[in-house]
Amino acid sequence: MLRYIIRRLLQMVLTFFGTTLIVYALMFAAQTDPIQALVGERPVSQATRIDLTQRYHLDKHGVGGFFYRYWDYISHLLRGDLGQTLGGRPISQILTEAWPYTVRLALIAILFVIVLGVAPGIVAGVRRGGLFDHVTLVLALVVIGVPVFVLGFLGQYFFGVKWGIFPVNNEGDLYSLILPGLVLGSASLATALRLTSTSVSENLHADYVRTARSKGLARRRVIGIHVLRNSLIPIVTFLGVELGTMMAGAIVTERIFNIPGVGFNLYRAINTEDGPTVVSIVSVLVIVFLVVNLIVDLLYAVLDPRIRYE
Amino acid sequence: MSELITTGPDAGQAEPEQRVRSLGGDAWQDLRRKPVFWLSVLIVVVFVVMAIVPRLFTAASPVDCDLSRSLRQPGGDAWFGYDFQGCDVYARAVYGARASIEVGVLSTLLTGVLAFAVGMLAGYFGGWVDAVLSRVTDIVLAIPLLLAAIVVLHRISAGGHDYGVWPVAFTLGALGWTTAARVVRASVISARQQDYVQAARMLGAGHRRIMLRHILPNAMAPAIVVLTITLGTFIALEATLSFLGIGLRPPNISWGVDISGAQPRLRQAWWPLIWPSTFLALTVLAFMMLGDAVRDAFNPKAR
Repeated sequence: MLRYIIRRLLQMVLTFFGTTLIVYALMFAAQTDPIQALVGERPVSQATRIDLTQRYHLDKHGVGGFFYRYWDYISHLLRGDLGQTLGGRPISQILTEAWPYTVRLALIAILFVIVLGVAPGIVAGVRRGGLFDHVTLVLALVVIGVPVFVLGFLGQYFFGVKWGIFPVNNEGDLYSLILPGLVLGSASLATALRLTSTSVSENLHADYVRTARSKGLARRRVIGIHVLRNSLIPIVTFLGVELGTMMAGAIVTERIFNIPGVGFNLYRAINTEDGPTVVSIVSVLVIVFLVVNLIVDLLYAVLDPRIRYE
Repeated sequence: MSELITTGPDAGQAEPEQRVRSLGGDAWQDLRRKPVFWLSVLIVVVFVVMAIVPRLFTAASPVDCDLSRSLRQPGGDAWFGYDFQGCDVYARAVYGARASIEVGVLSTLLTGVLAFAVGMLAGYFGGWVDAVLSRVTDIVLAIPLLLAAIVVLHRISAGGHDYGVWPVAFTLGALGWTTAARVVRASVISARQQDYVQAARMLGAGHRRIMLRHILPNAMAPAIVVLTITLGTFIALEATLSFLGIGLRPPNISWGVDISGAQPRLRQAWWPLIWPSTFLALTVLAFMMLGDAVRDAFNPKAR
């Protein structure tokens, strides 16, 4: 197990440098005028120009200069210093204010996925080919096909404007996060449903299930213990990865419902063409994604001994 | 796809008695009886035709806008009503098909080329080539596609030029190849061990010939299934990026642009939102169902 953890950690270090290098390069490479690129289409005053040149070490040229800047950026990032927005506000301050919203939103979404995706998926898998199976699969397909932002608008229109069940915009309380959470979780919900039902129905035909049945065990025990334990391993990993993806995907949901989370700030940074903020937030999100993936992989190894002794 | 399999090495001379049905033949038999398959093919064909000749579907022009008709309800002269600018919603939805399909097809082509190149080289040569390419794949896969696309498009659009569908198509294609590359790599590795590949090597065929003539045709089917689903995902992503304001921009006509434009006035008028959304959802769904159906047909376990 320890060897597995060490190998996985080493892989993550490599991936961390790879991903941050890509994000950094995408943002700053191949620019004739990096300062103009940082601030977008606005005119740049001489003072800003000098300030940005110093802050980002833009006076060093060539490939060596690029890696120097990348290293500078990485070492600041690792020390938790995310730099400032173009307006001079510390980005870490923005993120500390924004995180609680995004995390709460993602957790609500995951809760919906478990209640409305995994649970019906188990029923659909056990009664494979039944009416429930067909109806849920068709619904799941429709939800997968409709992009999240369309679902968001429709949900906002019907539940918020027309029927007035949920508030249209965020009001800061947990209740107003329910609808956005459902919208954010919708795509994963459908995938989770399909994944669970396939996994359960495949395991129902496994030899060990037949053995358990022929021993005369109660149906409840066979399904509840034997089948579920094995079928839920891929679901747990799926949920973990989705939690990471949702933090990134929250940009759309937060924009629709005006929730001041991380994605909302990223969207605002894009719109105000605030380059440093975009890079910092994206880097942090990528790191969160990497860490969540790492935890999921370790969890997988705990749940399934076959991975550990590979 | 069935063509690939029936033109095997000796399909012409083989004795007709007792023809063993190949996996592809079985899959085709299975697919032919599935209504989901035909339904999704029908939808895909309709939208592709709509993208090529939009005039077949509407006589109105998408740029014939008149502010005096702003937000007029659906009625006799325009079934789907008019949007805020007074443009025909239906005509815009029809003409919007082109941008979405173009982005989907172009980016999927690029992704396909990259995925086949990376997967083929990694799977065929193995060793350090595989190690390097697999690491690169892992790294690109570790960045959520939406985030990476946001960064790239933010950078490209900073210049203020309007290059139409190209930046979006290029960005999605250049970043979204990882899943397909893994699939190609896996099928190349299993094909590499087959007798016919060993035989070709014995006969003195070079790496290039073995890769392109012997392994590629047999490693293609699973990757094409993944790419079909990817195409649907890319179309949805294009709309999402346009909605965020960094994909296509207003002079271009696309479903994402129209949906994002309809949103602020949703309380007064729902029709400018519903029609592009419906078209978008149908297209995305059709490609995904198509890929799904073909994958199930090729999976003996699911039968």
